Amino acid sequence: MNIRFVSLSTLLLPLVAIVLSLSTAQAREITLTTNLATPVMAADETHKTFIKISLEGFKQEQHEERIPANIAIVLDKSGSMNGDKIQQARKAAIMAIKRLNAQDIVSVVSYDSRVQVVVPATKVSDKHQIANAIRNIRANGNTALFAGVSKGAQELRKFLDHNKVNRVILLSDGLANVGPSSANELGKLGLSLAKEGMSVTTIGLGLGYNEDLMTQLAGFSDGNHAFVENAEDLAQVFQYEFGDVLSVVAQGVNINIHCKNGIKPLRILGREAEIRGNRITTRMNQLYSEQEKFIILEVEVPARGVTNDLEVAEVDVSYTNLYSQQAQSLKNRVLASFSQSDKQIQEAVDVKTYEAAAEQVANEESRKAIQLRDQGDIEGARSVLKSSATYLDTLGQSLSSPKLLEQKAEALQDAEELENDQDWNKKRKELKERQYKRATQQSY
Amino acid sequence: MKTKTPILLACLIIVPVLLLAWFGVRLQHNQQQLVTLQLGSLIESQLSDVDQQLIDHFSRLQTALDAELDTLIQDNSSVYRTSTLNTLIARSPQISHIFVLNPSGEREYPSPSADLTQSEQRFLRKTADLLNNPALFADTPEDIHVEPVISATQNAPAQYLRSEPIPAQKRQQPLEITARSSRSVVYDGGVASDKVASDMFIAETELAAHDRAPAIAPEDPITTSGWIAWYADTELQHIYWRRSAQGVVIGFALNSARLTSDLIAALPASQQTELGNDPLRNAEIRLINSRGEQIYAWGHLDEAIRDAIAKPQKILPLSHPLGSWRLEYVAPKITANSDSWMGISLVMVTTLLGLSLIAWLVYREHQRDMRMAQQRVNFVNQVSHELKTPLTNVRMYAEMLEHNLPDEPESDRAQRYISVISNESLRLSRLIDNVLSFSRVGRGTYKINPTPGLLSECINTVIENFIPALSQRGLSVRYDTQDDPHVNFDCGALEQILNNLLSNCEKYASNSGEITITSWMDGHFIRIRLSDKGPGISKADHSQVFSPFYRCSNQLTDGVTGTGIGLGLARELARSHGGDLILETSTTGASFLISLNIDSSASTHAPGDTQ
Repeated sequence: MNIRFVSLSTLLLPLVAIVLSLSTAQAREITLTTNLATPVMAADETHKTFIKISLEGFKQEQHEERIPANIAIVLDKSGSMNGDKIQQARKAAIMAIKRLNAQDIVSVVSYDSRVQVVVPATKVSDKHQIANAIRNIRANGNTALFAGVSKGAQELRKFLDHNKVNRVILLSDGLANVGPSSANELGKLGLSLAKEGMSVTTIGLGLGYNEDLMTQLAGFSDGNHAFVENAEDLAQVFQYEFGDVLSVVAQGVNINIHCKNGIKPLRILGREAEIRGNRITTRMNQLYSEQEKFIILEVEVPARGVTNDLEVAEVDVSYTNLYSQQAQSLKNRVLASFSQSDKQIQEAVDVKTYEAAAEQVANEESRKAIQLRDQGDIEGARSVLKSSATYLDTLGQSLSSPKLLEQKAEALQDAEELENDQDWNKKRKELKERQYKRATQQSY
Repeated sequence: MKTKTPILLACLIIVPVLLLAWFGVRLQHNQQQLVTLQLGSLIESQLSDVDQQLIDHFSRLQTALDAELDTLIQDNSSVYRTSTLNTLIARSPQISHIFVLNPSGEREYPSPSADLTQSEQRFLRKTADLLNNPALFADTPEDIHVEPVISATQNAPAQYLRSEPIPAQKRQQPLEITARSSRSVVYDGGVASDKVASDMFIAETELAAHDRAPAIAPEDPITTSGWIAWYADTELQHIYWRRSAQGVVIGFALNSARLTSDLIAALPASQQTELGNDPLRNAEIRLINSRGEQIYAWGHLDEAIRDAIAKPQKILPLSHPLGSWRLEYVAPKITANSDSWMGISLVMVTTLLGLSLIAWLVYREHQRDMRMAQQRVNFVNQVSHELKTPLTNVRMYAEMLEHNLPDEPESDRAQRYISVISNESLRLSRLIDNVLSFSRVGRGTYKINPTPGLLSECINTVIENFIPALSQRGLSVRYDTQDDPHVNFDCGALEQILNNLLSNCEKYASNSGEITITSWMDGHFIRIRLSDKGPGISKADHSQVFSPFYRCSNQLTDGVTGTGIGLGLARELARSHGGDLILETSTTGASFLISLNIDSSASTHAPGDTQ
């Protein structure tokens, strides 16, 4: 009898454990937060306000197996990479691959005027062999960037899996001068790859690359972008990037926003989105563990009498949870009230949301400044940055936000550094990188 | 004689080597042409393989798009639901836009009444002309006004290139595909009302020229479909459309960058390490778009070589729907294989060395023989000289003895013996003289020594010396002279000439009676004719009798000894005297004419020049 009981309990215990672990897994979902910058608005007035839709990946537990990665490293080995650059790039790639293990898949593609598949998509079981192949890459020739990315994507496709993190990591130090080379074309390619569940992270090395092309490619495919001036920093950037890749918890995030009650969407700040009437659709390729990614939607709210809890928008988010390997969805409603009391309005202001919105608005202004500067209108660019600084200053003061004041200082400094043609190349790359990181809340 | 041998040997070496070189070059040339030809067809098949790969890609793409269409139709038999179309655009990596036209040619999707996204608006602006031409999606392309496109100016009306769907059976019959897929029609889009829009279109000219044979289109009885290619945003855009039985047209506009990327992905990458059997180890293939820009290239070509090549070896225009694109095969001109040149040079050098060695050996042997012969001649000369002195003594003493013999009948016998001794020693001394003169003439050291004298005296001396021998042979000599002046001539030489002629008479014309010798003056020349009544010399031997060591071979000469140098020597002597010795044609016997120049300055003829 006694023996029986013991055996039963030994049988039961693992069962209990399984049930427990299942319940914790269930709880591990993406957190969706929707906020209105001004939840209470003055009645009988038209307003422009911001909705922040924020998504945060759940925490990755230390002990559990992480999501396998499928990575294609696409290395520029054009003549300009010769010397220290290619050496550092090789080193960085080899070091980064050391972080992978046998369940991951890696491929290495190098390109100059031609494209070589250095390591075809393979399981990372023999790191030594992969490292040897990478060490054989020698710099020479032109830059067939488009073809390089195409071949990298082709290698990913061999093991393309929605339960893996599929990513192309593109390193380039020069202008694409063989094959398609416009930012528009690369953007379209990025968009197409994103539909397949691939992201392209673009790393610009030195001062010779085309930052528009690189940010477009990364932006449309929801990858990361980094400007690395010194080749010595490459290893660090690769480590960050791999850190990101290895911390993906959800993929294929589709966000649908439906504006209600006559509220009109104006624009999405920072990210690519489609606005069709009062519906907005946008997507993110992935969410990283414990990283917040958000979307700022600017809306126009028509005049309305005193109302409580009016539904402004409905937000639907669907995604694939890589841990449960299930499609999951979330729904949230954004509510607003209309009041005549100034005090109530002031008190209700959501400082964090407003701050985030202001950051993105100023970021958009900074983009506009670059466009003006590209057209040769230095004065126009400067005045855009100055007015942006004033805007940041006003809001920074009223919201008492040191972050916005810091951004204001940045804007003012940028305004000063527009003039010099020699430094502009570098400055533009810095600005593009900063704008990109702000818009996508990139972790590094 | 001395220079001739090396020249002959050199010819022996050079001629075969030159022949060999010529054959080698010819062979090499032929081989090279063969290789070029083979390579050309190899390149062509390589390029058409690539073309086939691209067609296959479109074929696969078409199958995938057809499958998508089928699922759309399953949802609803004739009406396409907006939401499904939206999802398809959001989901499909290849499709960038979709449009639907109802049977009356009006646009149903993107719906004219609904809100449009910015990208949809851009797309509609770009394709306004296209969508306003429902004829483009008609059943038969023959109905369309087809016009060869002349210019591609920016303001020209928009032009679209349309074609049949890629037949499914293509993959089995690769050759037929090329012909069929090239079937395309350039459609004149009419006058473009919108200048902005028309700027985006770049007319397609090249494929119109491709339009070879109107093939039998695999017409589907219910639905028709096809491809349209046109230019927008300076990129080649593709639309795949299908018209249902009800006349609803649905079109998929493809993401052009993605299409390019897929084409690149479908093509091979360059090998990282050079492979020995890689057909592109020293060449590359380029994919070039209609603006002449390189889209992609693969293969191995050194940067330096690549820059040096101005023109691709082969260009293959691609089949539709990638018409106006082309493939280029770039490789350095095939230069002669240095290996085979090496081989030929090696063979030539070996032959040259071998022949030279042989020639050298032959030459050395020849030289040795020459030396030996020379030594023998010297020896004979030496011996002749040595013989001359004792012989002179013998003659002298024999003559003395003859004079001193008492005129007694019993001494008649001794007299006879002595005269034999005297005659024979005379003959011997003539022989020795011949030998010595012959070698002198041969060496070119013979000198005539003219002294004034009477010709008849000289001739008579000879005749006198010969009379005993001739009379023994039943011969007599008659000598006639018309004028006999005092002239400058070498009596010794003339004596030797006459000696030789008379000795021939003695040998070959015995018992023929009278030998006639006549002499006369003829300007600067002394002419002496000597004719016998013997059997003469046959016509066949006329040209040979003067050759040294030649002896006529007939019953006459059989059993008669002789050196064979007599006539030759006689002629040489006459020639060194500025004259000649010729054999005259005569009816009876042999007749020789001797000419001697008595004008010493005219003695120009150098002896030994002729054989």
